[in-house]
Amino acid sequence: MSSEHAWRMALHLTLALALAAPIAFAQEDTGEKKETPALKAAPITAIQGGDVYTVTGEIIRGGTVLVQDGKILEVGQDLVIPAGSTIIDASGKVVTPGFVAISMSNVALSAGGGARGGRGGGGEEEPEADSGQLVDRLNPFDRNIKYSLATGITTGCVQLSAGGRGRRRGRDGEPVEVFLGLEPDPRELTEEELLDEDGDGHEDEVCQCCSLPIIPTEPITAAPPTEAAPRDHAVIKMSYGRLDSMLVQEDAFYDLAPGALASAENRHEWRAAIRGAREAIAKAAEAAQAAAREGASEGRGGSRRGGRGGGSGGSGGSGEAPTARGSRGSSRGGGSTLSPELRKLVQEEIALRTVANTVDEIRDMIALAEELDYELVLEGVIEGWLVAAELGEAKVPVIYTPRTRRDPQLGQEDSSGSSIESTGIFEKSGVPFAVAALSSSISLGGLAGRDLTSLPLEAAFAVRGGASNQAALEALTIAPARMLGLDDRIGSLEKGKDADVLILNGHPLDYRTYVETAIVNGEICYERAKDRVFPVFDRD
Amino acid sequence: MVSSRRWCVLAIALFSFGPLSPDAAAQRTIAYRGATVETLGPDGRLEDATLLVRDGKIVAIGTEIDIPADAHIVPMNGKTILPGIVDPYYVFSVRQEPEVPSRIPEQFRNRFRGRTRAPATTGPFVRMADYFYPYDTDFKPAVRSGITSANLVAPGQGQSALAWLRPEDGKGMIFQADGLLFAAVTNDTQSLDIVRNGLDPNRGSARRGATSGRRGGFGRGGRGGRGGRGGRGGAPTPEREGEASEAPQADESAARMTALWKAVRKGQQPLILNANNAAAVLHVLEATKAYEDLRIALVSTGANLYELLDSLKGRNVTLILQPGLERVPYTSDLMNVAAMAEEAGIPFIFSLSINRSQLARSQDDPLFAVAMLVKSGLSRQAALHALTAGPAQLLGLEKTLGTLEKDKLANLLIFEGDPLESGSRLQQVIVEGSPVHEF
Repeated sequence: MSSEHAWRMALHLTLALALAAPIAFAQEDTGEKKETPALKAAPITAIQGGDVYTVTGEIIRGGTVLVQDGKILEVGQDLVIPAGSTIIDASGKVVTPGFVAISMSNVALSAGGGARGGRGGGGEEEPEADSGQLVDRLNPFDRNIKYSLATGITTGCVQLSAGGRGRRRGRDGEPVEVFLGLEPDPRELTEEELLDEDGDGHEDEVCQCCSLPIIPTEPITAAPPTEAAPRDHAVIKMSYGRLDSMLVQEDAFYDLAPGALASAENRHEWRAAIRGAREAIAKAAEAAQAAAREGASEGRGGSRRGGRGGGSGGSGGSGEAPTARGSRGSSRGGGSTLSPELRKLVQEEIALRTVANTVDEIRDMIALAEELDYELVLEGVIEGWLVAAELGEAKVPVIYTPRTRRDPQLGQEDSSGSSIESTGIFEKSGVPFAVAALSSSISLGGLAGRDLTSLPLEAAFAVRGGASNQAALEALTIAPARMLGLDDRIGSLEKGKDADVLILNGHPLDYRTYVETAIVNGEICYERAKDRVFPVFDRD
Repeated sequence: MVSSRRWCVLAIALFSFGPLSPDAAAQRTIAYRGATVETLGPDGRLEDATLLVRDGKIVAIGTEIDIPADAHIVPMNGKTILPGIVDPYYVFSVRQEPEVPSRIPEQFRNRFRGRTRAPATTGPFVRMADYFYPYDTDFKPAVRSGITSANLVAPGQGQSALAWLRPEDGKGMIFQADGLLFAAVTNDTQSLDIVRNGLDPNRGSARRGATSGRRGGFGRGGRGGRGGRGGRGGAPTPEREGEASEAPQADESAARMTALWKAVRKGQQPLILNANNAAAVLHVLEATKAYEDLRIALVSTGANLYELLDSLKGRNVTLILQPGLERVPYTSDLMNVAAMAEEAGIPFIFSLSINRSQLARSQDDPLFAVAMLVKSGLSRQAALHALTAGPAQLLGLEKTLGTLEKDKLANLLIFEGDPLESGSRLQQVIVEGSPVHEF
C-alpha cells in the first residue's frame, strides 16, 4: 500500500511539475477519465448530499465527504467537488464513519496452519503446531467480512487465540466465541452445555416456541484464579478482496483471561513480570547507549549494528525457542523473558484488557493499573455502574454490553447485579464506553440479535440505558478507536483519516436501518443491492 | 531346440502377415480419409481432409494428400478428429511400490497390493515417478473421456510425471519421469513458506533459528511462529529432508528439489500451484511478485477466481480450470469463468480430471461441460485449445502433442460428429497410432 501510495505521489508530483498544461485539458473533457493522467493518479470520490455524522464534530446536513487515496480529503458543506470525481449520491441518506467492533472473532482469518499434516519440517521440532504468521492467515474473501460490512463494521479487533485454561474448544490457539454478558465462569457456554439438562446441575428452561434454552440470569461471581495466558488480538480492516490494507495492527491489547490476576500469587507474579519488563527495557536501552557510544568511536557502520542489537535485545531473549522453553519455570516468577506485547504494555503503546465484573474486581484492577502504571481497558463491568465515579476518575474506558442482565447474589450484600441504566451512568461519570454485542462472532443460527450483526442494535440499547445518541454513536466508533490507540486513523469522519465511510438509509441507531454502501480505505467493499447479504426490498 | 526355432518362425510369420493387430497397425500407414480435422495448429479446421499415420506419428495431413498404395484406408465419412486431450493436472493418489519378489510376473503383482502403503501426501516432497503404482487404479473414466496424456501430480508437493493414459502399459505409462514442480497452497505460513523458501533458498535457512516460544506465564516468549517464518515447509536444503531414513536418498531428493526450484525461478519450467481458496491466490500473487521470470500454472475453482481476474491480469499466470459452469458463491447465479478469463486476456487451460465425479459420469459425451461453456460465451477455438494445445505448451510437449500436424504423435480422438455437439459420441481414442478405447 505504502509503496503504491508513494508511487502515486511520485507520479502526481512529476506530472504537476512537468506538465501544468494537461490539467486544464483534463478539466475540459471530464467524460474520458481514463485518458487524463492527472486524474488517474489520484481519483477523487465524492459522497454527496447526505447527513454526515462526523462523530467528533457536528452533524452536517447535506454535507459532502471527499475521498482520495484511501483517505478523507475533506468533510463539509458546500464543498467544491473537483471535476472528474466519482460522485456517490447520498441525498436523503446518512453518512457515518465505519463502526469499530472491539470484540470480534472468527472473521477475516482462516484457521491456523498445521492442521493438514504438518510434517514438512525436521523431526527435531516441537510436535505442537504453531499457528504461523498472522499475515499469512488473512482471508480477504471471508464471507463474514460481508456480514460485518452489512452491519456497518469496517474495522474489527479480532481475537486470534483463546487464552486461559478451560476456555479452549478444539485445538490450542483456536479462537473461541465469547459471550460477554454471559460469563459466570471461565468455561465457555457452548450450546451443548446449555442444552444438557443434567450437565450443570440446575434445570434449563426451554422456550416454548423455539425450543432454544432460556439462559438464566445468573448472579455474578468473581472469576476463580486461572493460569495467565494472554489472548492475542489484531486490528483488521474489513477490506473485502484486498489483502494489502487488511492488517492494521498486530498487538491490539495485552488481554488476560478473567481470573489471571485474581489470586495473591497471580498478582505477585504480575507485579514481578511488569517490574522485570521495565528492568529489561532499561537494560536494553543502556546497552544500546553503550553500543552507540562504542560505535561512534568505531565508525558509522559499527554504530548501526550496535543500535539494532540493542533495540532487539529485549525480544532477542524471547525469540529463541530453546531459551523460552528452558526457562519457562523461572520466567513465571522472574520475568527473564520479555514478550513484545508485554513490552508494548509497559511502554504504554497498548492497554491491558481484562474482564472485571464485580465491584471488587473493578477496584482491584484500577488499583493495580495505578500502582504498576499501565493503560487499562475493562470488559464486562456489570457492576461498573456502582463505581462509575472511580472509573471516570481513573479514566478507565470500559467495554460494555447494554443488554447484560445479572441478578444480585443472594446472601452477599455487596453484590448488586446489573443495571439497565449503566450506560447513562457511565456517560454522566465521564467513563468512555464501547459496546460489544452478546457474541463476538457472526453466527446466523439460533436466536437473532445476539451475534455481531446486532452491534448497532446493542448501541441503541445504550440509549435506552440513558446514554445520549452521541455517546452511543461514539461507543461504536471513536471510543473503541481510542481504546485501540487508533483514533488518529479511524472512528470519525475527519480530514486525513482513513476513508472508512458508511452510507445508511436511516439513523445509525434505528433498528430499521440498513447499510447501503460500505467504503473501506476509500474502496467500495459492500453494496447492499449487489452483495445480497440482507434481503433487498422496497419499503415504499 | 528345433521346436523353439519353429515357434520363432511361426511368430515372425504371424507378426508380418497377421491382420491388423496393433503392432501391425503401427507398422503400416493408416489413412483416415474424409474427416473433419480440428488441427488446432496453423491449418485450423480442415474439412474432408486426410490424415496419414505411420509408426505412431502423423505422416501427413491435409485436404489434397496422396494416399500410399499399401495404406490401410479408414473412411471417416465426416467424423471429426481432435488431438488427444492433454490433462495438465491429473491427481494420482500415490502409493509406494509394494515389496514383491522379482520372480512374480508383472500381471500378478497387483495381488500384493494389500501390502502397499501410501506415503504422506501433504508433507514431504513426492516424486511421482518413484511412487507411481498404476495397477490398482481405474483409468477407464479418463481414457474414455479422451485424455491421452496426463501430468500426474499428488495432493501435496513434489515433482510430477508425464504419462500416456494407456493402462495396459503399467509402469511404462510414464514417458517423462522428470516432470514439473507442483505444490498445494493455502493461506497459512507453513504452506506459503514452501513457495517462498523454494524461490528464495537463503530465506528458509536464515530464519529457521527463530521459532516460537510456548505460551504460559505473563512474560511468555514470542507468539507462535512470530519470529519463525521459515519454521517448516520444506526448504530445499539437505537438513530439511532429515525425515527420510536413508541420508543419501534424502540428499538426492534435496538436490533435485533445489534444481527444480532453480529452473522454476528462471522460468525454464512452470510452477504448478493448487490454491484451495481465493485468499491463497492473493497470497501467492503477493509472494511471487518479485520473480518476473516465474511462470505459474494456478489450479483453482472458478468460484475462487472470479473476483480475482483483475489482479491476475499482467501476471505470468495460466489458470488450470475444471470445465463447466459454476455457481456464483452464495447465490443461485451461474457464471462462465473460462469466458470471463478469455475476456480478461488471462490464459487458461482445462483439466477434465479435476472433477472426478464429472469424469466418471461422462460416458461418451466427455466434452459436454466444455460445450456448455462454448454455448454460454466461450469461444470454440479457446475451448479446444484449452483442452489440447494449451496444456501441451504448458508441459513443454508442444513439439509432439497438442495439435495435429506433420511429425507429431498420432494421439487422436475420433468423434461421431462435432465434438462440442451434444450426442456426438467419442468413438475411438488412439494413442501413438494404436487404439486404447473404442465405443
